[in-house]
Amino acid sequence: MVAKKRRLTILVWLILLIVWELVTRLHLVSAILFPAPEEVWRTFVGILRQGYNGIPFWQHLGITLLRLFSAIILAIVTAVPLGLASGMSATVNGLVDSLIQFYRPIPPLAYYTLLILWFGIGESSKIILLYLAAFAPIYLAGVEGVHNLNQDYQLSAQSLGASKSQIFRWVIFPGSLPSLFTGIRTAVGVSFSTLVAAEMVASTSGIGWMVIDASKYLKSSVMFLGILILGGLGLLLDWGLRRLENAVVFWKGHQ
Amino acid sequence: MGIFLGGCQSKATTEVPNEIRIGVLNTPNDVAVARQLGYFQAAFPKQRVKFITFDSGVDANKALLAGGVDFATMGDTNGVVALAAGIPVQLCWINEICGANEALVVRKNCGIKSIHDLIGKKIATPFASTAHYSLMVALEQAGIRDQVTLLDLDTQNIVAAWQRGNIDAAYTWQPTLSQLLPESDVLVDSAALAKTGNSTGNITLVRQEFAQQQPQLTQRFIEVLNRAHQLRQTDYAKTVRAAAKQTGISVAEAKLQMNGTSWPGLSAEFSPKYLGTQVTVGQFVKEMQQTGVFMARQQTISQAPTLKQFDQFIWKGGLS
Amino acid sequence: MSALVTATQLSLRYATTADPIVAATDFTIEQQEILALVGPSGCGKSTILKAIAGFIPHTGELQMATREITAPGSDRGVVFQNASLYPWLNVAQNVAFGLRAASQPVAKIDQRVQQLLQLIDLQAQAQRPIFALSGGMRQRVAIARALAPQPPLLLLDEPFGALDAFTRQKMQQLILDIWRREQVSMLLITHDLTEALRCGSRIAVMSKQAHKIVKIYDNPCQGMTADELASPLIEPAAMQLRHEILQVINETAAE
Ligand SMILES: Nc1ncnc2c1ncn2[C@@H]1O[C@H](COP(=O)(O)OP(=O)(O)O)[C@@H](O)[C@H]1O
Ligand SMILES: [Mg+2]
Repeated sequence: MVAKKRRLTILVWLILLIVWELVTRLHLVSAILFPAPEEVWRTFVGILRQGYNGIPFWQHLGITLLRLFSAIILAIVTAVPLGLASGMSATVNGLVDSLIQFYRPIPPLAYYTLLILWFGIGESSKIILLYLAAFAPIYLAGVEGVHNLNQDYQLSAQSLGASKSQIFRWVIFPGSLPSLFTGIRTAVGVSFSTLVAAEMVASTSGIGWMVIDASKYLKSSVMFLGILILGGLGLLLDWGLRRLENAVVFWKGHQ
Repeated sequence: MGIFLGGCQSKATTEVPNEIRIGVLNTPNDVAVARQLGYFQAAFPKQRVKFITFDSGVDANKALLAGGVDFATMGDTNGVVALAAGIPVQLCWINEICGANEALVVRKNCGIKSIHDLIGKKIATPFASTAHYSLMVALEQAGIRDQVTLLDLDTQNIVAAWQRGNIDAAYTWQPTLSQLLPESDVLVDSAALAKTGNSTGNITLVRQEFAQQQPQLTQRFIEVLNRAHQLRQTDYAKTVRAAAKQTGISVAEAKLQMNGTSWPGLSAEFSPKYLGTQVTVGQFVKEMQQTGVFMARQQTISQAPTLKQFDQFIWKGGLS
Repeated sequence: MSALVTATQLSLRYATTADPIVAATDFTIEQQEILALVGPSGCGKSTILKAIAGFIPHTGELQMATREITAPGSDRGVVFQNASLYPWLNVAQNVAFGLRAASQPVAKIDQRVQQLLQLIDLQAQAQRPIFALSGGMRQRVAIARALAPQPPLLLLDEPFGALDAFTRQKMQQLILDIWRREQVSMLLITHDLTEALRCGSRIAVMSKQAHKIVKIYDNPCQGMTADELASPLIEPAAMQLRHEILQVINETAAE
């Protein structure tokens, strides 16, 4: 089953690559609209060697990841406690839930201009944009995690003489982890898809910025490259998170 | 040169189109004046003239590439990008030559008296624009290209960043410039740079296919804009009023912006001074080629087009 | 010797229900006995157990060792039908939960856990995750976990209801062994009359219509095997009691 699925996956990508190669080789489409695979590869090697816009490739990648991870970590550190608190306490829920439900569906780009006015054009507005995108899914996962927790877990703990704080540390928190991980994976996805937007304004580095800048000069091979890198990076991040999840929440899917 | 999937208009080659799509910038230029005064309708009674406003030449180029417009106005640097990228278009008109309407300004009272004082400072400009190019030239002339931080901001964000004190200087154009001006000093403007052989301007590109199949319509398009240029010679006040009305700004504002530019007019444009003649390459074209060389050196385009390529890039139907 | 639990005119209802589920019932759980509680499904057996556990409020009197029950506590161990073990803890950690909550010294915890694992015959499984256990093993761990803080009373709500017949018999034997070895009283809710006859010191019969425990029988059959109970030749007393209980249940159902 798994082997067959993997074979099909590889096949699909191979076919895609061959079609891409053929379409460009036969000049079926303009090279600006669709650069050839080898052209994209050459661009990649060139950027690896000389960087882009005078900045080494690894620095572009590094700053992008730094923005993403600072935002995610900030979101985890704040949204997990708030989400769990909101799941456990009707008072906290009454205070914060409607605010978060209100801002959650707003497309981040809609308030990005405001963020820039408030926090300037430096790193903070970018990180805050990604942070806001990441916050809601983690918060919601915290609330869900508490609500969906088997009622008997807490009752058993009470009957075993556990105090409130012990119940939180030993039951509610670990019991919410499966939900929290799902939330964190969603958050990484949402932040990641906001990345290009975040790097659109006043950057001079980052993979997302590279795509935007290349589009200004119609350097389609750089755009393709940037998009491929972002796609690959997204896959890699999710794969890493799944590995981490399987290690931490080892009981998930086993009940 | 690109070949398109499907080649949308391959059959109806000689048929006259019933629609002309023009990409415009929302600035008080000749297109705005001609549009306001109904010159387009008068010249194209059989066609529906459709105007599509773009925020920047970058977007206009994308639209030309996708075949979404027949004509589009943009900064000449975007014209260089279009040529270098191989978009099948030609340059058919110079809308205006930039002068005092584009300038490098610095915050007042911050001790910056010359371009040299900008070392270590943050300068914002919309990348890929004529202002960006002019800024790069100014920095290169001063030899401090690598000693400043450049930020890519669009004009609204320049104002926001300026008010927050995030940037020390900006190379931008009107009306943004006047929003910064009360608290700023001008270091250099595009008129000064033009004198050193680095003129910039706004130009109109036409889709090559359109120009080849519809030379009369293209010619008529140029004449429409020339009418606006001539009006500016004879009745400047009326021209300004029309431009202001069309772009939705005050007359004073329009005047401020237009004062900084010059509109060459048809006979000057197709002369050695600008776009050249059948036998000579124009000075403006030569400077555009230099722009290309400069941009290639900055790696913003992969290769600088040759002077020959530039000469072929000019639509010379306007000469006949 | 006074009773361990005394209910006098005990009435119970849920916030969402208008009528009481249990109305003015009287019963006791004596020291060192297993009180088996039988009755038709939905008559309120679990509700009574929850009240004794302190999970729901009551009206009337409900005392544990002469103190009114107001909240859950480690003097009343609870075992639910589906073990509700903590899947993020292994077998030994689950058993140790109540001991850790009471901040007992590590050495003492280890000793007690070993003792209990031996009692339930799961020493070899001490470090295994919960999801790797069978249903019967899980119930044994749940019993050991509830027993760990040495509560005087164990509340078991249909603990073997989800197990196969063979495992169920072994579990009934285990309950009897534990009861004899540890100084503990039990309330055993079951819908299996044979289980009640086998394990109960006394058998309480609850009626759905009367909303109360209508009769409590002394059980002469406690400790007999299922085979013995099944044969009327061997044990007419069991036959007689079974018949009587069924009659009470049917009578009250017919009212
Ligand atoms: N949490 C609850 N809220 C409201 N009604 C409940 C709740 N739990 C049980 N009930 C109702 O109380 C009655 C008795 O339930 P229960 O004590 O679980 O019965 P038993 O354990 O004897 O099968 C049932 O009618 C049931 O629907
Ligand atoms: Mg029940």
